[in-house]
Amino acid sequence: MTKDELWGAVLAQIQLNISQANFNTWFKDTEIISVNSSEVMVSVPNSFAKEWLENKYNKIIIKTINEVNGCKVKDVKYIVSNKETQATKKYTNTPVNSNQLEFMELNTDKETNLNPKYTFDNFVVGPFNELPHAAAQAVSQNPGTLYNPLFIYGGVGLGKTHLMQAVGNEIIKNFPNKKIRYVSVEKFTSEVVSSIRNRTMEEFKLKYRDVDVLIIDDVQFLSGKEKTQEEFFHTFNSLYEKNKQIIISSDRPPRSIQSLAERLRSRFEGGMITDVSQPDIETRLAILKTKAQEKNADFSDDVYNYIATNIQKNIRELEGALNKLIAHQKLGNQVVDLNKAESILKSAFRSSTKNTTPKKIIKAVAQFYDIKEKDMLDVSRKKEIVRPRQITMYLLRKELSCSFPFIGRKLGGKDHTTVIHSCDKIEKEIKNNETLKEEIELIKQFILSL
Amino acid sequence: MKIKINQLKFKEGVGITERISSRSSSLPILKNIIIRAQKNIINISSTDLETGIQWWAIAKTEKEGEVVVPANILSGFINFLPDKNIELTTIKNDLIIECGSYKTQIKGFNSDDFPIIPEVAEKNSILINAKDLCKGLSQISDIPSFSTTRPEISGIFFNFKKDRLKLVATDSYRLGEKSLLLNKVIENDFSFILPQKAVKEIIGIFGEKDGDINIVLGASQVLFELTMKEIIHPQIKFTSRIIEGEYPNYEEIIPAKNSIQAILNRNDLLNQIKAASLFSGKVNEVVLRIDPDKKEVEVLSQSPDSGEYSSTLTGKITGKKESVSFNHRFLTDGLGNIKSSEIVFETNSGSEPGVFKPVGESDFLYIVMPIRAN
Repeated sequence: MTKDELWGAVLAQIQLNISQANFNTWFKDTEIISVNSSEVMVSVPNSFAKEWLENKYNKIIIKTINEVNGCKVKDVKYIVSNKETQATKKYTNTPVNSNQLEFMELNTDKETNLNPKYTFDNFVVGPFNELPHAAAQAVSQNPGTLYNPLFIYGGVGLGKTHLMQAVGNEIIKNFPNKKIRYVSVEKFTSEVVSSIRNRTMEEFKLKYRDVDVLIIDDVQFLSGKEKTQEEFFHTFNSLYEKNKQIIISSDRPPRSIQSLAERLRSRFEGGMITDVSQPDIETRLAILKTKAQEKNADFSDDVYNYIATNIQKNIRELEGALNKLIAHQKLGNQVVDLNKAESILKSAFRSSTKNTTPKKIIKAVAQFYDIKEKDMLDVSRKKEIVRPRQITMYLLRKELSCSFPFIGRKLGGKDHTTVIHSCDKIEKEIKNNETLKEEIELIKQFILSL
Repeated sequence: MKIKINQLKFKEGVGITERISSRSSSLPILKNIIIRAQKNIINISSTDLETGIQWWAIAKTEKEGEVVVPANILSGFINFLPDKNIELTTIKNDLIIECGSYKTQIKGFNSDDFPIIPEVAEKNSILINAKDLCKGLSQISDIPSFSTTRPEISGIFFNFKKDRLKLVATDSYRLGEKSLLLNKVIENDFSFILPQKAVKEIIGIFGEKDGDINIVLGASQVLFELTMKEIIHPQIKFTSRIIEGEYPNYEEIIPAKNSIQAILNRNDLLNQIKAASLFSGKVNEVVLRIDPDKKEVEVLSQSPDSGEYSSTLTGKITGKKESVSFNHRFLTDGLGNIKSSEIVFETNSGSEPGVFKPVGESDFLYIVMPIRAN
């Protein structure tokens, strides 16, 4: 009999002799750590349980162990395990908006900037991310030789950061001597700025050119930052020439990043470009189940199905919904079934469907193409404005079924025939232009994340 | 049992222990408190299996014994009693209370079922002034937020080092650090993480008490103990689990140097931020625009629904022009806990942490991450 089986049998027996409430309180999260001929060691979640089992149930536990196992154990020792129990009852969730910055230092490795929680093991692979995952794994086996740079792009909340950090963490495991640095473009930019100001440019250069693996997140934010682009370009070249691995992520392909220096764009395109698309329903289910398991929770299949059918575009949202249910389950001490899940999540789903508004569409397009919202609503006929404006018109029509005159009024008082022309034009172009199609998909996702 | 005690004393004991008799627990006995008549002493205890409170007072014991009764009924009832001596007796599991013309019988439970509050085996201990500790804790106790993924930061970090106790709390968006001077230099530094809930209980229990608390750290628990004035015997013992794990190296978060500095009147700033918050909309965003040339800080907010706000306050400002956006709640929380009339606000840029400190005191620090400017 294994020790788990033994403890299972003991618990089954003891359960019959004491009240359910007492059983749940004192025997929850207990297990046998070791058994020998005269002594059994049991781990308990807290000092209260230790005290109570020692004083009240010790005899019956010893007796039951001996009955079940047919041996002569004389003593049972109880030790408080270090495992964190979910006993905290109060659940506070500070409402923060998505732009609220966090202290990065709290969960990351100071040297590498990597967060150890992102690994390949807890990354769910499906058809939507098979290729980037395979490429990432290949890179982590042979950094600097296979795909350099590795460029991963895709919408928000689809796991780019997870994948990139997993590469970093895996390389640490495989090649402990390699120097790895993970940095977001925002951080990189602020470092460039401060080293210019503090005249510490040399230190900065040394810091980044000394690494074996450089992982750069959210490279689309390089858009329009010329000095940073220049610094990045030199860093990139210096590393590339030395066969150091570079991994880059972005919310869109290199060619769609506005005002990115041509030389950088061509560098990015020189390696492997791969995209993370949206997960299919099977993958979403798999993700939910993996996350639930990580958090020691379980729900019935129809609950998973319910979440997976209602959230389609964002893995982070899947996780959020799941966390909500887990919290309810733990706090209420009761099983969350489909009915419960529906009532808990209904409001969350409802708000996400009515999320799209003309204002958001305009904002998203403007941000995506790095132009001012004001310009887009103006009469300007500059080429770089006209195109985004047409896309906005198309999206307003497609996503919100706005009337042509309304769209015209909204976007600088255009005639409704102009709007019809624009929508048709984009509609036709999408059929032949893969890039445009991709861009519009990304903008749609972007709208949802605003 | 049979014991006589003053009404006010008894009320204090019930009031303190009733705090943690939990309502929605799987174990019904936890809704009760246990009263023990011991030699010349009465003891009342309660627990929620995470924390335990034990309270003692001198009393006239005629017969020793113990009884377990529902905390809410007992505490509700005591408030109606006159300020006279109370006599407590038991019949089987029930408690009989006699006080003046009142006579009551409260249904109780078998005291054998009441959990045992574990003793803390001492590894380290230190004496600290009760009021100072509670005042310090209350400056940061609202900061943590519960997190299943990072349980370490859902508590408050007690770090005893040389002659200082540093209390630290963060929710990963902001961080508060309070320093208290110890009476003596300790030989071995030690630290632990206390759950937020326990910290709030400590403030409630010891906040108005005179004298020193003995903090005793054990293997998985910590004890806060106050001694009686009359005799050498504990008056209150508060035991709590501690959060396992290592507190993050929070000192990295404190910026080593800040290029922008503004010294401002605390009340004016707080008022202006509160006024601005009315117009900050759902995103809670309030902008501080620092202008060293004009020697002023402008407080701005706007929302499509309610309108716009702007005001200025003057102060001593050095560094460059900069705009920083913050969640106004984080600002008012922090500023509300700074007690000096003037504060220093420091930062490097709109995407780096903002630091708030009292002027003239160096024992408190509040750091907030900004909102990414659009």
